[in-house]
Amino acid sequence: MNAKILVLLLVTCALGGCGAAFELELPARFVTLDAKAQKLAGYAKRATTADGVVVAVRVIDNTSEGDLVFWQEAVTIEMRDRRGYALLDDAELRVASGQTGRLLRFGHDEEGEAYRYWIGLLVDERRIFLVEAGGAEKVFEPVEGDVEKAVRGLRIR
Amino acid sequence: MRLRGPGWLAAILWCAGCGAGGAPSAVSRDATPVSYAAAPGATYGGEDYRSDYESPPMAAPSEAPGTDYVGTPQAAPTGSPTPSPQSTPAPDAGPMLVYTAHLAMSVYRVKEVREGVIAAIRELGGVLTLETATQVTVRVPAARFQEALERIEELGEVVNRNVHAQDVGEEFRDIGIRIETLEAMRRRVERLLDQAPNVQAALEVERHLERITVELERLKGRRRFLSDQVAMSTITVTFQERQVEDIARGIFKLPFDWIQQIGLTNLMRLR
Repeated sequence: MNAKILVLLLVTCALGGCGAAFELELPARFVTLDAKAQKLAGYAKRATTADGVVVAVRVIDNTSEGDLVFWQEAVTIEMRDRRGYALLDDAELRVASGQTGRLLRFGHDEEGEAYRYWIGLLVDERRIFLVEAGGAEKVFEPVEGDVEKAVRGLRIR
Repeated sequence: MRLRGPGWLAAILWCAGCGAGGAPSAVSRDATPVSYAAAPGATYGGEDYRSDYESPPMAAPSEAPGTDYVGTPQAAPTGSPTPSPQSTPAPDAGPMLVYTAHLAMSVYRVKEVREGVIAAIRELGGVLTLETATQVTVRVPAARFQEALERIEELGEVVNRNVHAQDVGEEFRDIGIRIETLEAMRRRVERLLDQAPNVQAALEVERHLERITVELERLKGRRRFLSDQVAMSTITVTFQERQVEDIARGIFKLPFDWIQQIGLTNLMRLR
């Protein structure tokens, strides 16, 4: 009996992905990209639309034990002061699993084209969750609401 | 007596000739109602005085009665010391010095130092004439020129200092003589105008009078300008940010690789 339960649990975990540190429900029109390839690029998950709106999640070990304020500042300085992105908005991010972080919305112009780039930042004692979303403004804006809903729907385990 | 015909025209020609050339006998150099001041102890030795690090001599105009100098209003702030020329009237042959200084300063916070320079100059009764992000030009009463330089130099490291004194005494005196001559001529021509025998002659005299008046105004304007230049010294300060380590140029980076990897470039480079 116990063996049967154990096997059932293993099968459930394998199918349901109980090893993942988070769960992100993607909006319509997004497809998830190959996990192994994404892992090599530093992403725990990455998905894209056909016209180039990309959503990705990074999970980083918080070995330095930086808190949310530290990482928010580090990310803002990197993006705004070093990369030349404009910080359009900085708001609280509360995700479906209850954690709170910050949602930083940046804008960036490149060769006359406007781009949007969001970073959702969630920090606990062990990990940093970084939800990135971006794309050319003209294709990002139509799915902006869906992307935000997905980001806020993140479940951290 | 009224002049008629050729005699009258000859009078005009005689007048016209009066102003040409050097000083007429009617106006002596000694009678020129212009005085000026030279600094005691001035090390002036020629037309120009240049110094890189020596204190320049001080000179300020001392307008004598009879000159038409209109000093630039330099109301000192209440409670601040009033500029007072430290010089005494000098004989005619003395110099009238126009001081200009150019300072290049290396400073840490350009904006703060720039504002400090302006504040110091205003305290000394000076005025700001130009301000850009990296340069200010100010004018201070000549008597406070040295003090102004010292105040400015306290605000940052002076990497280049150039003080220039130009003697405009000769030009000033020459202008005074020419003004005297032209005024005398104008008085004579005005008398001739009263005696003009007909309209045509009167018009001719008036044309001549107008030329004299225009030249007189030009000379008086130049004299006012020179007086102002002597009374107020000009200091130009250029600022350059002190070169420090390359901290702001990208040396500092947090040692977290993932921070360098965020951004649209990586996000949109799909695999």
